[in-house]
Amino acid sequence: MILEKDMTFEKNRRKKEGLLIGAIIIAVVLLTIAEMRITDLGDTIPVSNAVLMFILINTNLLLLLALILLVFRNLAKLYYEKKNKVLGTKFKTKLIAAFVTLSLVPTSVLFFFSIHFISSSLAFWFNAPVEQTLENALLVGRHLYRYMEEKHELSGREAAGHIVANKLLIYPPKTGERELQPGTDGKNLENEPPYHAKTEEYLETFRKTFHIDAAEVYTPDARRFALSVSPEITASHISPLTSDQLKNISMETGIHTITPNTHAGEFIRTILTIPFGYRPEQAWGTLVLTTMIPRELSSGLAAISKGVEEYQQLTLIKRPVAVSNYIALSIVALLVVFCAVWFGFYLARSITIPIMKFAEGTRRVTEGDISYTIDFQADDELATLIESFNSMTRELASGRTKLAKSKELVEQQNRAIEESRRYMEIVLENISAGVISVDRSGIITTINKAAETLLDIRGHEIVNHHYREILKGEYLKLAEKIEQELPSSLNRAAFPLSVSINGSPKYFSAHFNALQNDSGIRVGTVMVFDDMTEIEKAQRMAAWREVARRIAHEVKNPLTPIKLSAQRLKRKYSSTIKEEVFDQCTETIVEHVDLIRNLVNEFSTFAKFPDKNPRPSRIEQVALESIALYRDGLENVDICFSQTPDIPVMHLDRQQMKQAFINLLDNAVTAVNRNGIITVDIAHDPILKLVRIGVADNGRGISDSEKTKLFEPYFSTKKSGMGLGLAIVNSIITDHKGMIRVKDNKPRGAQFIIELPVES
Amino acid sequence: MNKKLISHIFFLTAFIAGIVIFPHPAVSRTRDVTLKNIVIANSRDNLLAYFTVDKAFTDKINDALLKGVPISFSFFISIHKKRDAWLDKKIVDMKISNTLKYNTLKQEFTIVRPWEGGQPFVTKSMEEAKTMMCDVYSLTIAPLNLLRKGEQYRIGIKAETNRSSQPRYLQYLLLFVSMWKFETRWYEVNIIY
Repeated sequence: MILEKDMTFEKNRRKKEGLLIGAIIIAVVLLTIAEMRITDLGDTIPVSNAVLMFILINTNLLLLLALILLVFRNLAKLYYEKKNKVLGTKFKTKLIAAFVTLSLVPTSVLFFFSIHFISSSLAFWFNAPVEQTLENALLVGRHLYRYMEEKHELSGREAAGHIVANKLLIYPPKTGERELQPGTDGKNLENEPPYHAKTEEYLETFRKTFHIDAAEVYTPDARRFALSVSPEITASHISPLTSDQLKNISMETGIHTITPNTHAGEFIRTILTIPFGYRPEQAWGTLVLTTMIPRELSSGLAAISKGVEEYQQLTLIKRPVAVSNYIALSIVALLVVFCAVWFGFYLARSITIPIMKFAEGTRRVTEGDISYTIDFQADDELATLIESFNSMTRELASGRTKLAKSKELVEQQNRAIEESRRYMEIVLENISAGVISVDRSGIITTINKAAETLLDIRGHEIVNHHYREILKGEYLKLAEKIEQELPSSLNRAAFPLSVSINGSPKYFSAHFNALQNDSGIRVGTVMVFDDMTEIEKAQRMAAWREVARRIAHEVKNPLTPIKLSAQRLKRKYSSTIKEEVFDQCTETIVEHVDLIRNLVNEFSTFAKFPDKNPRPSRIEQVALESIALYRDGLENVDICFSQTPDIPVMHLDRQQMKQAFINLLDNAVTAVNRNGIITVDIAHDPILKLVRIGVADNGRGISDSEKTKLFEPYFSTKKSGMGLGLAIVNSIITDHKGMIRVKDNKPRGAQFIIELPVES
Repeated sequence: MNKKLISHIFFLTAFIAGIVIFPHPAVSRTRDVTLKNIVIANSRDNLLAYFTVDKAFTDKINDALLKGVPISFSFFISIHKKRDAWLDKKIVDMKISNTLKYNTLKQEFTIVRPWEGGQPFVTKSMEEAKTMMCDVYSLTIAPLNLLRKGEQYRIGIKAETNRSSQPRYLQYLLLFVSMWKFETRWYEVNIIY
């Protein structure tokens, strides 16, 4: 995957480079064409050199353009970054400003100094004295030529006049023509000496007189008629002039000067007509006067002329040279400034980017991404810093991983502990035994639901309270007694507890266990207690039934012989003894035997309670039938009956149940001492699926100690009675799989509550 | 591909193309030099051309001339034989030049017209020298035997400054500062021989 990504990146990079190179080549070609159009180098510069030069210029230009583009792009970018308050912009701006200032100041100084230097140099080169000197030298040269010309003109005038006056222009006719000297009016001159001898003789004299190097006379048809040459120069150097040259005389000056160069020197040849001032076509002939300027002098004059020309040509390019230099300087200055700006950008970037990366890194680390590493290549101290940062984040990440593992482990352990705790709680909540724990100081720390139910208390009301605050009266004493009597070395103890909860007697089997930590130090005590009330009751009942059965069996057997014996004694000896005491005694024996028999019968009934015969019955009717037995005979006792409308039909032994109601009502009537209110209330609890019957009175009530033994046989608070009533009731209810309990009636009296299950 | 880079390349290319496509100020400042009095004639054996360059000399050129800078004009003459179904055939392509030089010492102008075959013409008159420079007369542009009777021919003439006659240092320095450059359009004359 990474390899594929790298390849794509490489491909893109190459494509980009290719495009850039292509663009540069196109740009160079276009610029070369443009410059070729603008400037014409002519034929003197070879094409290859011209192209090379243009390519160099273009490359420079492109570089400058690219630099300008880069700089302006970066400046624009910087502006927008500054506007958007991007991190690092201030620093970047400062760096760039510093670089610009640092580069601009010396560059500007150098630039203006150079400009001044160039201007002053140019001014120095083209200063007036030089120009004046050159001009003067040129004027000297010109004067020389002028002087020569004027000298030729003056002397020429005289010579021309002399020639005309002395008719020195008699020259032989051309073949076939009869030639005459102009002005001779056709006079025959055949006898005259050779035509040109005189003329040449005059020319010789004239030349010497006027210090002229050569004098020539041409005929109108451009034939050289006479020639006189100075001995310093050879005649061959004085070449004959052409007709065109001879006729090319200015009518303004009357002369024409040509200056041919020979290896001997420069000849100044002045042409004038004879007579002077005539038009060439009207003239009799042409006079040419020649003076030679020595080679050294003519070369010197030529050099002066060349120097002046070059100097003057240089003045032509003075301004363009200055402009070119200014442009070059400006380009260099711009290049320096832009380079500095670009370098500023580069440096700023190379500093701000890592700073921004650091900022990003710290932000990410702050946000929690501690595995963040700075991806930046550097080769200076920043590299060390980046490596340190990355190493730090790596360490952090490693530490965090370890921490996470530890946390996970702890969480697992906590979960296990929590599960264990919850399991224990569930167990505690669901066991039937009550569990209460107290700490070392006696403050209750936990209490389970069973304990709350068994003791009829609210856990939150007693938790975190000292047991001394909770327990009162005899229970507090009992608790203190237990605390004092139990030796501290004993870790566990068990004993039965008989208490009254809201008036209901309860029998608990209490187990005390000392709680010890790993070091064996006691940290508290846990009390586990089971409700043994019903078991106790059943055990007691079973014991009493066994006792009753034995008593009935053992006592009933001798009663019949005692009674029969007493009756037999009365019958046999009453008439004999005639003693009233005897009769009374026998009567008492018989009576008490009956009494004992009744007692034994009751015991027998208790012991051998007939099997129940359940049939569908309505409990409220049974109750009402029982109440009806008492309502009529008791004027001061008000028996109230109430019921909920949804009492279901139950399987009951009507007879036994009626007996139970009668026993309860009988006790209640006794309790109110035939004057009070008795309430019978029957209600259906569809949730618990039971019918709850309450029989309450507002009599004297039952003490807590009495409550514990209330349902035991032979326990009675009444003076008369066998104490089996409630035991029988308990027996009947138990046979119906129900439960009877007693509690205090509010505000006074006692209340018996019977709960009978409704069979579905 | 980086969009920014593409935009940069595009703008740079557009900028350069702008330089190439739109006329440069130096080019646009080319003077309105024309050819006039164009006459095509023939002698017994040759086809001759006569023409004059108009407004070729400016004050700057005059100034330069008087400072000894040689001035040279080149003339291009071509003859194309007209063809109906095909490109015209070039039968003559010639270039001649006139050079003018001022001698500051002797204060005379020397005009060289190599195409005349004669000696250089020397004159003290600037006007005459300039006229000589601008005038081309009796220039043999083709022998008549090169032409065929009844055929159409297109004769093109163009004049321009020839900088090659100038000193080399001037050529380099005036690379971007064209002072007296001119180039006329092609003037065309159609003839039927």
